[in-house]
Amino acid sequence: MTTILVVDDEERIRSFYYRLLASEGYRVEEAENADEANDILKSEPVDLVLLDFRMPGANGGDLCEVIKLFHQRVKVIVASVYPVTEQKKRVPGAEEYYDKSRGISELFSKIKSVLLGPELEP
Amino acid sequence: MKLRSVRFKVSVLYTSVLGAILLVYSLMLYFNLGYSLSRAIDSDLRKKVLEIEETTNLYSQAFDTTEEKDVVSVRRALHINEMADREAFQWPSVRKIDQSWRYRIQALGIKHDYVVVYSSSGEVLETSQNVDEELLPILKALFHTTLKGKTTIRDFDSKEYRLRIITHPLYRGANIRYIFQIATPTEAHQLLLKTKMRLILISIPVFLLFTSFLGSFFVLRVFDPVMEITRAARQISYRDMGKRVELKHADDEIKSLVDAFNDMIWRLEKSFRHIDDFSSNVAHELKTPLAIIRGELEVSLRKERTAGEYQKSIGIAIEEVQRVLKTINDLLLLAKLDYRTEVFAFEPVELNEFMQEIYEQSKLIAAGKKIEIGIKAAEQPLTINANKLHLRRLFFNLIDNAIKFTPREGKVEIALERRHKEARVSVRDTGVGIPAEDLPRIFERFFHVDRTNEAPSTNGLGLSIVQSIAKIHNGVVNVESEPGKGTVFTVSLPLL
Ligand SMILES: Nc1ncnc2c1ncn2[C@@H]1O[C@H](COP(=O)(O)OP(=O)(O)OP(=O)(O)O)[C@@H](O)[C@H]1O
Ligand SMILES: [Mg+2]
Repeated sequence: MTTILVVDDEERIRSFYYRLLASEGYRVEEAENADEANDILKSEPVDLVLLDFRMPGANGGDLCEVIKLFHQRVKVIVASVYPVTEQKKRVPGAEEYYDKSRGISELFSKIKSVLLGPELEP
Repeated sequence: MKLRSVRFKVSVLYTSVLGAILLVYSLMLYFNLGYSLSRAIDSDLRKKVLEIEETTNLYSQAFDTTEEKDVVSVRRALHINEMADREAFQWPSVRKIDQSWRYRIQALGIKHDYVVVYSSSGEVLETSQNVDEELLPILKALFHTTLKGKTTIRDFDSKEYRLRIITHPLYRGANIRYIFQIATPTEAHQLLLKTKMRLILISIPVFLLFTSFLGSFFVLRVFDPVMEITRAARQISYRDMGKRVELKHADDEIKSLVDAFNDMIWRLEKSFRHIDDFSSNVAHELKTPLAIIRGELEVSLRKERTAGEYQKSIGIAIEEVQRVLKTINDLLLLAKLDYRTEVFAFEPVELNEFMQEIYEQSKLIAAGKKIEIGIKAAEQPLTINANKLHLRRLFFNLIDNAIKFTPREGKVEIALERRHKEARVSVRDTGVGIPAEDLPRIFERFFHVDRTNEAPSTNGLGLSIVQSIAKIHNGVVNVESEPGKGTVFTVSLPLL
């Protein structure tokens, strides 16, 4: 089963994505900051991280770098309410960027395309 | 060099000032020279006339002539140089006078002067040899327009002659015997003055040209830093605020300008960043609830759900709508507090009574969390000038925080006291406290300390509003906190 880790400091966002993704059949893990996310990444088989970068403590950008260094297999989608262009500036190196106010079908299609990976596409 | 440039103005200014000074100074020297020259001529003339007079007298004595024959002495005195030896007297006394007079005449330089001797009635008795037909009438005419009783000096200018003329009477007792007239040519002096004038007229413009050139070069040097600043100012933009003016060898005045300039850029940069942060915070704070609402609605539409699920989604949507509204209202209030203070009506408010009301209302909220809330009024009445609506908002925000950040069964206490000319109201709680490193930032807009288990309905504007309201009441808010023990906020307001 595909596991998605939702990293966001706001509980209500996490709970929304938890319900949303769980109802779509994904296994969902939650982390409220970079440290927690790191712990989960070390102990659980995570396929995809849905990452907010505006967090207290170590921010999403730092976490993204860590993931790219130590968990190459894990895909990252940056998800925040900022426009995608700004997200790219702040957190370079993620597979995909998602503006949270854009609606859930866009999120699902991005998750699917990232999980499939460009090289696996026929 | 442009006409309106400072460089041009400065060089025009100092060139004209310098020109004026040079002109005045040269003219002063010029006229002083002219004056000294005529003084010198005058004293020469006096000396000559006196010596001629004296010599005439000496001859008269030597000849021992009668008054009528004095003219012999005059003639001898005037013509000694042309007289051949045959006219020489064998009288040793006369010879002696002859000798010394010849010598004196040389020294005085009378040779070039025109001498005329008149009788007391104005007839020409004798003239020196160089006085010709042409000159004599001029001298005579001058003589007749001159006061005869005493020595006078005057000038005469015409095409052929430039003369300075002394007229001097020779007395015998109380009567005038002869009148001497000596005219000395002044061409040489005039020439001297003329060349001086020419020198002045030529040298001043040359001087000015040279100094204005030098000056504008120096001004250019002085303005170098200004150019530098201009260049830097052009490069600074909203996107690139990092630029600063750097001057290695700036003078003090310029340096303070540069410092002030750099300082201003720094302040601008800071407020730009502030605006940036602020709008990014606003966007975040408004878009997050909207994203959740949209998500909930889309989830509900996606497929058939149970009634419970619908209810949950609608509940969340309503909650988020309320958050959006709270944020918008808070922002509007803050804007009003900051920029439209004049719209608030103030009235005298007695704080003990006022806080009692707030306390009664807060009890209900505190009861939900089993928090014990108390109030300690001041002994004397505390009347301040206040806008009731906003003052209530201030204390509700503080009490709301106290209750929110205090665990169940904690305590909150409101205390009032009078300190000098201030009323102090403190709200103390036994809650989680605020880490020391966050204390300076809690009044910032949208700042909230990250904690997991707190009520989620915060946007971090509460304390900003508290501070702004205190400010329109000329009050201040202080905070002391010990993490794990509790926090106390103190509002000091000036008494009426
Ligand atoms: N009495 C208190 N005890 C502990 N922490 C406090 C207290 N009051 C304020 N704080 C801290 O300061 C932060 C800022 O407070 P503020 O009232 O501005 O925002 P908020 O309460 O989080 O949100 P809002 O008041 O807008 O709903 C809070 O998030 C909290 O961390
Ligand atoms: Mg608050």
